Parts: sequence; structure tokens; C-alpha cells
Amino acid sequence: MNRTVLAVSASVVVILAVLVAVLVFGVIPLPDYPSLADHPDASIPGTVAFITDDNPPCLGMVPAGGGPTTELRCGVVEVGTLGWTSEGLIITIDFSSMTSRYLLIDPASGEVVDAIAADVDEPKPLAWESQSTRADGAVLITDGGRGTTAVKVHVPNEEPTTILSADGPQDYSFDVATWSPDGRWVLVVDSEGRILVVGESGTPAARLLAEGASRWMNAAWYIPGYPGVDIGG
Amino acid sequence: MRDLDDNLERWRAGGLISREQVDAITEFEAAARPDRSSLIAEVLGYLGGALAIVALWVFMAEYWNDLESWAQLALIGVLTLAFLAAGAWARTSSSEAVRRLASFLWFLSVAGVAGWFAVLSTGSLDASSKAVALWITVPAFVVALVLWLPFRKLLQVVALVGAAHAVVLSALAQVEPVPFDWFGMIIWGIGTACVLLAWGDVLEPTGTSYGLGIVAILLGPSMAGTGLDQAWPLWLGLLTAAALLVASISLREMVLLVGGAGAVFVFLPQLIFTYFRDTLGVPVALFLSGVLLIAVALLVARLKREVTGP
Repeated sequence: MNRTVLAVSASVVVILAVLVAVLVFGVIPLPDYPSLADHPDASIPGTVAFITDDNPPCLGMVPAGGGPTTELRCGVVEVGTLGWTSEGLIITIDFSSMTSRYLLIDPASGEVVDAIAADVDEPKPLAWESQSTRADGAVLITDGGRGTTAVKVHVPNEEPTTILSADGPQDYSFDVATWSPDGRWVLVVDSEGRILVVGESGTPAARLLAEGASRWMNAAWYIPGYPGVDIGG
Repeated sequence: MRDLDDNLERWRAGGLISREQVDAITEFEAAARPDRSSLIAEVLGYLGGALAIVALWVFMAEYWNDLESWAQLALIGVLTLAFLAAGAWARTSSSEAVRRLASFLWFLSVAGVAGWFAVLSTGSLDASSKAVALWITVPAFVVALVLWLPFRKLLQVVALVGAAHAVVLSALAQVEPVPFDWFGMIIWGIGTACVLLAWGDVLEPTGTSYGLGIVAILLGPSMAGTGLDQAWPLWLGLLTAAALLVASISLREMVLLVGGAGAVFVFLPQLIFTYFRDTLGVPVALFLSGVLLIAVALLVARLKREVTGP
């Protein structure tokens, strides 16, 4: 075997070996969750609003128990924080003008029904951190790294308990976790923009509610009769 | 040249060489001197290319988004064809300077092809963001290969190896989820293949090909080590460094010696820090790295004598 043939053969072997190693060890599948859209659960009450990963972002809405996603409006949603008023209007915040303002959106029509000047300093009622603390003080924590991620409930003076954990690629994570208004369910947005619903204690296990949500932006849950976000005004 | 004339005259006066020998040396050196017109053409070519790039940049910043896709395609297409045609014409010149200019023009044409397909895929075909990477890299690789085959110059092999990296990485980016943390290993693999192909006289010019391969071997394991947060890619890099050092002696190849030594200097401190930073602390780890690097430097100095030979 002459040097040229040897060099070409060795190069091909090296490249193929690296490719096989990458495909075998490097491509770790994402965790899979059963779909609520395919199998709706009537025991989960309310409606979830979220911001999609589209460009421009849109405001989406889906029944919390599973069902088709409705696209309310696109292009006007400037930021990721969302909430609901006690009356069932979606609240978002508009940073596009000089003065930041809350926009109140009718979920039936998708129209902006009111705009209120926003105090962007503390407290931040729309920040997802404020929606990750339950009335009894239980705080949701997203945790993990290097391929393992988890959502934990931290009750004051107690050890955190894990209600959801998953193994996946190194950059897979649960980014945001918020309580349902009744405190019985937890809404989780993962790094793939998937919205999951899991029971407060981890049972029922996580199920997929919707896909295509914008990462790091919370999804907001509304159940009639429960208090919404108070933005003043 | 004046120094040479003075020396020749001094040597003739000293009886070391004859008048005929003086004339012969003068004639030989004059013939070996670069043609000034070619040099001027080369300088003007580079200047023109640089100005064109700057002008394009300014134009793009101001008006690019206002142009229709077809106009953008036409603009890049005409420029790319002009680079290709001018390069093809300059390549046949007898002057080395003009051939270097041809190499530069053909290098730009590969970038032009990549740009043309970028506009086509995003503007006209509305391809998905993942597919766009393949739309750009595959044609650029094919053109780089086609231009390198008949004209194996420095910039052509740079374009070819760069495009090879881009095409493999963009192909892997189609996989879901994308194994970004492993991209360093792909870079290492292509770098190793480059060194092997240069050794086999497949990839030319040999020195540049060795150099490109070594750069990839230096970068890849470091990237993978950081991305995967593990030490084994660094061990692989160190192993490759050892292989380069051994090969440098048997092949008497200085580039491989420099590359192997460079790789040891890159990977050894990283490994020492990985294992001993927490137990021994940063100062001791630094000291240990320094001592080992001095030992490696002494070894390389000894190997250099082996490589350069008696």
C-alpha cells in the first residue's frame, strides 16, 4: 500500500470514527412526554396563555387540560412576561414606547382593551419569579445541569422535594416553573419551548400541553374565581 | 543589488573572480529579480479587492435591505463571476506575483458563492434556518474543491479546509438535538485528516495543509473539553501532540515538530489545571505546569536536532 492510499484510508477512518462517536454519544434524544392535546385531561382546570417562539412573537392560548392552541395576536407582544387579571384578561407589558405600559388583552377577541402606565421598578407583578411562589410559601426551583434537570418544591424549613426530573442532552433544562392559581398544578417551560403540566407532588407525571413557546418567558395560567395579578391602576 | 555590485567588484579586484564571472552573476541575478510591473499589478489587485470589499460593506450597510432578492443575487453573482474570470485569467500568467493575485481572487470567489447561496436560500427560497447552513456550505465546498484541484495554492487549500469544516458541521447541525458540545471533536477529526492527507501528498501545498490541520488539532480538543466539561478530549489532544512529535522526527518535518510542541503547550497546562486546581490550588498547578513545560521545551530542543539532522 503506497503512502497516498494509506493517507486517504487513514483520513477516512478518522473522520468516520469521529462522526460515529458523535452520533452515538453526542446525540442524546430529548425526553418525551405524553401529549395532553392527544389525550385531554378534564380534571385540569383553566386556560394557559404563552408567548410563541415565532418572529415576531405571538400570543398563544391553550386549554390547561389539553386542546388546540389558539393564536390571539402577533407582533404587538414585546416582552415575555405574562399574567391574568382576576377578571380573565391577559396582561403583558409593552416596552416599545418611551413609557412602559401594561396591555390588557381580551382572550376572546385578542384585542387590547386597556393600557395602563407600568411601574417597571419593584414589585414586578408579571415576573415569573412572583408566580413561582404559592400562597403557603412553597417555592418552585428549577435545577440541574450537564444532562440532568429537575423541578423542585421548596417548602420553608423543609428539604426540597423533586417533582419532575429528566435526562437529556447537556443543554436541556427546565427553565421556568410556575404554580397554577389553585396551587395544585405546576406549569414548566423547558429549553425546547415545550410547556409541560405536572401535578403539585409530581403526580400525575409531566404531560405536554403545547410546543413552540418562547424560552425564558413564562406561561400564565388562569382559573376563574382565583385572584389574578394585581398591577394597580 | 547595489551591495551585490560592490561586492562583485571588490571580489574581482581581489582576484577571486574574473570579469566574465562578474557579468554572469550580474545577469543571473537580474533575471531572478521580480518583474516590477507584476508586483505593481499584484499590489493594485489587492488594493482594488480591498476597496471593493470596503465599498460593498458600506453599500450593504446602507442599501442592502432595500434591494430586492434578485438584485442582491445579481450583484453578488456578477462580482463572483468577475472574481472567477479574473482569477482564471491571472492564473495562466508566467509571473508568480500575478498568480498569487489569482489565488486571492479565487479565494474571494468562494466567499462570493457562499454569499450568493445565502441570499438565495434566505431571500428567494425561504429555507429553514438549519437548511440555510447546508445551502451555503455545500456549494462553497464544491467550488473550493473545484478551484483547488487545478490551482493548489495557499488560499485555495485554506478555502477548501475551511469549507470542509463548515460543510460537516452544518450537516451535523441538521441532527436533532444538535450535538454542539461535540463540534470540537469534529474539528479535531478533520484536522487529523488534513495532517494525514498532507503527509500522503494528497492535500497541497503540504506546509499550509500541515499548518491548517495542526490549528484544528489545537482548537478541537480544547473546545470539546470545555463543551463536554470532561478531560478526555484534552488527553486525546495530548496523544495527538505526541504522535506529531514522533512523526516530526521520522519525517524530518519541522512544521510537525512546532505543531506537536504547540499542542503539548496547549493541552498539558489544561490537564494539570483540570486535575490539580482543586487539590493543589492554582499556584502549585501553575508551578507544575511551568516545570513540565520546561521539560517539554528541553525535549523539543533535542528533537529539533533530530529533525533538522546533522
